[in-house]
Amino acid sequence: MTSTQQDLLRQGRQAVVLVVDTSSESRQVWQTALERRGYSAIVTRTVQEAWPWVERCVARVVLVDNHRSIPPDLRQLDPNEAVSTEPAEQDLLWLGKVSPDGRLLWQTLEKPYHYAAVLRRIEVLCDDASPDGRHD
Amino acid sequence: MASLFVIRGRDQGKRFELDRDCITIGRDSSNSVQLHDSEVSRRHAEIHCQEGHYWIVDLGSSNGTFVNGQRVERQLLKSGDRLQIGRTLIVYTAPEQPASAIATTAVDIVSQADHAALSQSRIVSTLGEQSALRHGDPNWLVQAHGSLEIMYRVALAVSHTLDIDELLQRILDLIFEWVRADRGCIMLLDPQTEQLRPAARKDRTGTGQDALAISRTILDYVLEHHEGVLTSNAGLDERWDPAASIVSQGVHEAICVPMQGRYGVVGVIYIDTYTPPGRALLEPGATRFNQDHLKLMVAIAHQAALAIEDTFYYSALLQAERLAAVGQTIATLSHHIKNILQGIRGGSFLIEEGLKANDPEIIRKGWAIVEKNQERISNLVMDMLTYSKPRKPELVLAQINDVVADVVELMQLRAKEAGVALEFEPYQEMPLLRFDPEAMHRAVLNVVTNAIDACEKVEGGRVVVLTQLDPQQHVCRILVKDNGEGIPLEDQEKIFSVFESRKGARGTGLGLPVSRKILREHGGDVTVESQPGRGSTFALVFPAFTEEQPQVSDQSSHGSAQPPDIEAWDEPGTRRWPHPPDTDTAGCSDSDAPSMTSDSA
Repeated sequence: MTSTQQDLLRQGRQAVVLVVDTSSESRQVWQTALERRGYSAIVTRTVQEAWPWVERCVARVVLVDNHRSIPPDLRQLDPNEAVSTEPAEQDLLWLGKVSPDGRLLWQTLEKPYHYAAVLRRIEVLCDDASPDGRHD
Repeated sequence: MASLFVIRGRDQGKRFELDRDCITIGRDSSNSVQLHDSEVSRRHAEIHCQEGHYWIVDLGSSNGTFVNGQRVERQLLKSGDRLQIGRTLIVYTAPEQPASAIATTAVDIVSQADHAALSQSRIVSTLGEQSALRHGDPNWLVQAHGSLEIMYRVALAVSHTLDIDELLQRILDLIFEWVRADRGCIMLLDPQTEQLRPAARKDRTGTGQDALAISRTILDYVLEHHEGVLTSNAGLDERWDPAASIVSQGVHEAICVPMQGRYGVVGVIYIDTYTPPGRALLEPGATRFNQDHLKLMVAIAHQAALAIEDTFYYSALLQAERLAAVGQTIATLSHHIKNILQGIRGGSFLIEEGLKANDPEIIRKGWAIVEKNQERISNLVMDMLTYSKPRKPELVLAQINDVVADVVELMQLRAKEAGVALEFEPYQEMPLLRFDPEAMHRAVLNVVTNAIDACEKVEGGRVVVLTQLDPQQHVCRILVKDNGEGIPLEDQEKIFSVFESRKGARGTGLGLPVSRKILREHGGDVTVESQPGRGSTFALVFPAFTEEQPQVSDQSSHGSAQPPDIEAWDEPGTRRWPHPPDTDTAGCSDSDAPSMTSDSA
């Protein structure tokens, strides 16, 4: 997490969006786009790196780039996160809203998606959640 | 009995007989046909038998039921139909059914009443495949020996080809060598139409002009009873009457036998002969075909049928594999292209954001992403083209160090972004060698790209590229060493298979297969030695031909330059190298080469 992210978290005002993507380019795009819209973006490469943030329930929305057709349930994923070498049958972006009890309610977008469309969805999901981003 | 034969999927090789009026197919163990395939629904489809015909009915499965590539809800099955259920491919084989007539210019199936000669023919003998030789005949041993020889030759013939036309023609040739038949043909049951179609024909005269008339009655009898028949319009006993029709028509004899395979009749073999009236009168009662001919024809037809079935299932399997390969290729490429498109959209989005905010830094970030993805799609296309067709390398005299240096320079930015140190240690005395610079550039680029990616997660990642010349083995080596993740032993050969990537969504699975293909086209190879957690060394080895030496003559001669034992090569700077070949003279002779220290940079 960058120092900016830490600052934003400390402020506790911005909605936190957690992005899990193996592509550094994609992480870069999400971070820039989200921060420019006033969100706090936590970007991680793997689910393992993302797990502590989910555990602390700091994120309102989670984005996971996943080419598997199974939901990337962060609590149930194989900790080794074995990368499938099978050709992907579906390339999906999983967009999860974190419910107050910490569960993730997923929706998907098929690749190649439009960033503007995903950002609109993020906006709606964040508006639905509590203002401080915490669910205790 | 009708059956299902699984030719692809986890249950490949299983055969299910359709021995009930309703057979259920699905993933659940309660089904009559259980398929171990996650793409198959628990209760996927049913096969019903109605008045001897089999229908497949989809039970509202998630992924559908396909017959010969077409999705179906309910479909009448024909022998040879390919059923696709999930990822499992099944061939449906129908029970034997009587064939109806077809007409070709070569063979006519006619009713006996329509044909003067046939009209007086009758079945004089029948024989199923269970019948045995008669030991009472004093010549039985000689006949048995002859039969054994012909069977041996038939067995050889059927085992030497998978080409059905060639196989059938060879069988007819053998039959004609052994029996005095005038005409013969082999007819196969068309799995689509379930009708007999002529597949091979032979005439002793070699003309083959006249249509060969075959009695539909005889064919029906053979197909219905699974028995071979010997027919003649002449009497077989001494009461043969020369005054009858034979005086005017001669003697017509025929043998027709079913080609009984494992799962049913696949066709018939028919031979006939004609003795003109004059000769028939001179040799009353003499016939050319007898019971032994019939027996052996039954056996030959059985052998041929087995071979045809094998060929048929082999073709089906081959076709299924091709379809699967095409499907896999499309799925894999679509995945890569989608990811590249996503990258381009991401870059474009940032550019748009930057333009709106008038922020050159964001524009620069976006443009860098777009550029990188343009490069990725360009590489993907080039790799696909390189891999998709055999090509002969365009050999020219060139400096391999220049090619490798260009790759290293090109990859410096990527290495820097990944936090990986990329170094080049060229062999300074490298002569000009014959190789295809453009192809070699691609081969080296793919390997270096992989090495950088392998080091991305490693603290202090380092990739060193070296060129070496081995005058003793007459080979040039390009070694790409990294201290990255390493590759488990069980994956070290797999990584050279197409679409096998260890890089997840980033890898196309084409890079290393393409590199190996290029090196093999040069008469060399790419090999790897690796230790998980310690790194890998890829060796691109190709024959070090200088100007006067022979060129690579055959692109398929992969492996002609033996790849070296990489362990035998010391670290750069410590290795004592043989003197490089004198490029002004004949090249790579090592007979008088003094040793020298490697001049690694």
